[in-house]
Amino acid sequence: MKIICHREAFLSACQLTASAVPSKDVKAVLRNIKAHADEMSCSLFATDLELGLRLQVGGVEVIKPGKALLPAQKIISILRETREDQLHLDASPKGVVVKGKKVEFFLPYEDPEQFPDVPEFGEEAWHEIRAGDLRELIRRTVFSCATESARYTMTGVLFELDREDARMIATDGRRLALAQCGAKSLGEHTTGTNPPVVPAKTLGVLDRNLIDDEEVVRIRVGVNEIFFRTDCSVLYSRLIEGRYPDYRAILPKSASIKVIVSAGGLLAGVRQASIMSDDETKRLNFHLEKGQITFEAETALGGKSKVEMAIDYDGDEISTSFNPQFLIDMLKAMPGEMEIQMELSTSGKPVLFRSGSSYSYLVMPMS
Amino acid sequence: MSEVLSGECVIERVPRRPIHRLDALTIAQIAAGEVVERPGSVVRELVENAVDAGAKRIEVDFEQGGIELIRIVDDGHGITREEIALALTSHATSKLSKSEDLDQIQTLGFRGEALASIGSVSRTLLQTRTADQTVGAQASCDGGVLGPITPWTGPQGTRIEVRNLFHNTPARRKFLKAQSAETTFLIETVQRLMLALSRLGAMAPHLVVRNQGKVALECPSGAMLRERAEILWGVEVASDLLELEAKGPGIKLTGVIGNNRLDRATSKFQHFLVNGRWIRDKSLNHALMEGFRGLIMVGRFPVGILILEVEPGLVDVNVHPAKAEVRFRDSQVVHHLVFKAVRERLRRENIHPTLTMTTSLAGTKSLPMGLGAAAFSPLLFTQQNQWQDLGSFGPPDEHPLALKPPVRPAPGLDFPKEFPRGLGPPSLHEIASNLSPKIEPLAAWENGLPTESRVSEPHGVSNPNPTPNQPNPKNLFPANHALGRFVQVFDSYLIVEIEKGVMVIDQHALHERILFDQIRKRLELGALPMQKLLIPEVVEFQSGQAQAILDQKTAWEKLGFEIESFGGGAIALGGFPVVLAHRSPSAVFQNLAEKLLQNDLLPTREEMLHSLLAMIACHSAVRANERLTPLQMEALVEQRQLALDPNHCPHGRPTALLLSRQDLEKQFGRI
Repeated sequence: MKIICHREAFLSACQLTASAVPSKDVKAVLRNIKAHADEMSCSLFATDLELGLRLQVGGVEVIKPGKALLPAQKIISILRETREDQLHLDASPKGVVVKGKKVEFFLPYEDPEQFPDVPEFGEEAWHEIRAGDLRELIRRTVFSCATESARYTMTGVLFELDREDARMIATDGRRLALAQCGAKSLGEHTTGTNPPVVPAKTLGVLDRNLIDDEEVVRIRVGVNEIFFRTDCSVLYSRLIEGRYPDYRAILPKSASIKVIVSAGGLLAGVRQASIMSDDETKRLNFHLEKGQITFEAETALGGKSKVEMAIDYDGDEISTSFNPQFLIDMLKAMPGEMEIQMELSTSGKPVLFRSGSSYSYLVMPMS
Repeated sequence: MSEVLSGECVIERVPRRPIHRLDALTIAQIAAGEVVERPGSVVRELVENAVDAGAKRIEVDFEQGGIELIRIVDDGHGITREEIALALTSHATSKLSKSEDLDQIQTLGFRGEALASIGSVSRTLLQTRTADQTVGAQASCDGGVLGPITPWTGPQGTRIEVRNLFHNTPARRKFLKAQSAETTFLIETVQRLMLALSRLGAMAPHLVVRNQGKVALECPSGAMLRERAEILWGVEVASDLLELEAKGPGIKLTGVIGNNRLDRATSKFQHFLVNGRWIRDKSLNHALMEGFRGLIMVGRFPVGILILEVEPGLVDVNVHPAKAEVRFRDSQVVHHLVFKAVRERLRRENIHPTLTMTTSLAGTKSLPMGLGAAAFSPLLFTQQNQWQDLGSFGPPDEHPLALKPPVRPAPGLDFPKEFPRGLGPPSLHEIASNLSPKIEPLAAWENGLPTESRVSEPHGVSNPNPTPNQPNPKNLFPANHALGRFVQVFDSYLIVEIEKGVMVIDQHALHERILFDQIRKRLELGALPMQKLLIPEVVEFQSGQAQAILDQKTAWEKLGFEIESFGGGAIALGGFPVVLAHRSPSAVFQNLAEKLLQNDLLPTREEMLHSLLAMIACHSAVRANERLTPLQMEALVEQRQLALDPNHCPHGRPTALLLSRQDLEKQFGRI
């Protein structure tokens, strides 16, 4: 393989691809990025066997088609540290020579055939979602995933694909986020009664990979795998197996109190008040009364905060308390001007934050 | 299967046998099985009888583990000729007359079955005379058959000889352990009785036990508990015991406990006596352990003798045939009393581990120990923020000075036994030729040392503590102590000069303790806020266990755990204490619940917090092998004085070892 690449474009492609390189030493060969050049284009592929990402790189002139393994850490450092516009990559069974006008690097040879195969997207049926919408789904849910591996299925995001819409659901048992957007099903592609649970890491990589909001992402769900395909990339991931909790049963059917607040205002109030909550207590009291909402927090040593916010409310007084971080996580993912409807019934019951019909966020209070 | 059976052997149906009343001997032998298990239990029953008879002197002789012979001679009230036959018959006693008396039992024996039981499984000779009779009586009982009663002219009291134990119940005899094991058990039994006798104070009988004629144990009549402990464990142990006393409603607690250095690998060194009777009680073991929590290592057991006097109405002693267990009306109260008393006593003691140094070089007894101390590090930090190189100490060959951790090497306390490369010990010749250059930097280090006069008035003028005589952990450091004289060695230990001597601090252990105290202080006041779960977490137990956990539902709620039955052995966890942060609630809950099932007691709030906080503190403390800046060292040592128990980390390892100034001067031959 022999190519001439535009250094910066090749660098950003390598950096994106490297998000699939395993951080732990599972299998030495996986610490490489596999480059594959044919007459038309050049693509990069990396995988940790759980997820794999293939990117097409622009700005590459292929002189001689072929394959090569590039050690991820080294090639990224070379591309980052050298100052030249173009670099020549020349791969032979001896190794890979990276050459600029004033620099030359030699990377020892590793056999490209040892690298796992690239799974193919397949072309029968899929869903199409606008990249901007998909990214919004991810950003509004993925923070709710469980981090402990004790409840393994909850470390992923449930991804439901219907005829006309797509939903992502994430929960760690303390709060639950549900986001929805429009989607187009082609060839009768739906997830049916057994929707996939996608690892949070996969969605993080996907998020970083979606640059153009208007681009259309194709999604195909296989037996134990999911593919996301954009114009110049394919992301492949294995799914998390196991039964996901029935989120529909958890979402409250009705609420006696409904208040509308702006996301930005609520975030500011919560952030200010939670200055005086600490790691051991992590607790923010909400007090709702006519015309205003009051946030109060207290540290274990007796420090206190009180923040008031005017709202349009005319109902009974009610108090409840939350872990402020749960609210901050959600509000950060919302545009500040967005209106959010808070729905609650009694103080011990979960509180629902809703934005139209496309987003619901359920938080369990503290007692 | 049935074919095989029918082919190989013929099973006959057992013919019907009529139900009939057992004869007295069989009844006695069955009953004996409950009371008289081993020779040791014979001794216990008979010595208790002697005590109940007001004896001033009790002599126990036994041979071959007590199987061949047990002889108990006392000078108590004795038995009249008329009562002898009755005494050897089952359920005859002078200590109890009607069932209501069972609630008010004050004597050791009461069931009235001991003597008859023993008589039915051995060759027993009973000789006795009361004070007002001139001629006593004797009778033998061979395997339950009472011989003729004949006159006997011995001294006042009772003399019982039990020979050939279990000679007529071969099955039982076969199940006796080796003679040595029976001897051990018998002596253990007598030791327990000896401890129990301390409650009688000056009235306690003189107790002598002889094995094959040799004295195995002797305890004078008026011995106090500490003396009895000394007989049991030896002088050295006894001198480290702490006396303790506490009172609760209807309960009085006295006893001795070991300090934290007296820990043992088993709980066999824990004795509990309730109303003069040695008993086994898991909850008391637990209370004692809890009292020592954080002071001794996990997996080690404290030493102690705890004597409870409980109003007879508050304790049921009639729950175990061998009287080895009792049931308290309210065991939580007893548990709490013991726990608090132990805790308080230890706190008062300000337990402080000491650093011991020994010389292992034969024939060089007067080798200067100070060099060992100097060899800790080539670097000494001085007040001028300069690191001075002490230079290399020669080749790293065998070192004559060995640093020994105190008493028992704690697993977590791996004080280096070898010096790092380049810091090898000097040969004697080198010591001689290098002595002065090495002392010099030390002297520089000591620039700010208290002068002799300052030492003679240990608490300087500016000392805030007005009562310098009281031991106070917070005043270990002189108030005018110029901070900055620290040495960090191996990037893990700090060496600090304090009023009493030189302290070696384990930086990780100390920081752990400080963080632990800080977090605990913040939590102590408030409730434990609970984060509820949208989706309950299910934790599986065995079904009986789950019920036991659910029975304590409200107690769990106070700890911040909301639990519900989930059917079968499953428990649904609906909420958990916020302090767990990212730790898995179900895993922590399961851990705590299993502790509960082990001890039959709900972990107390304190206990639960302790283990959680220890976990949190351990993870956020500075590690060993971490170079600290002078300011960090200063802050760490300064905060040490604020800790509640600065001398132990939450896991019970020492945070600091002390080499006292006196020891140092002794070793240098100055005093």
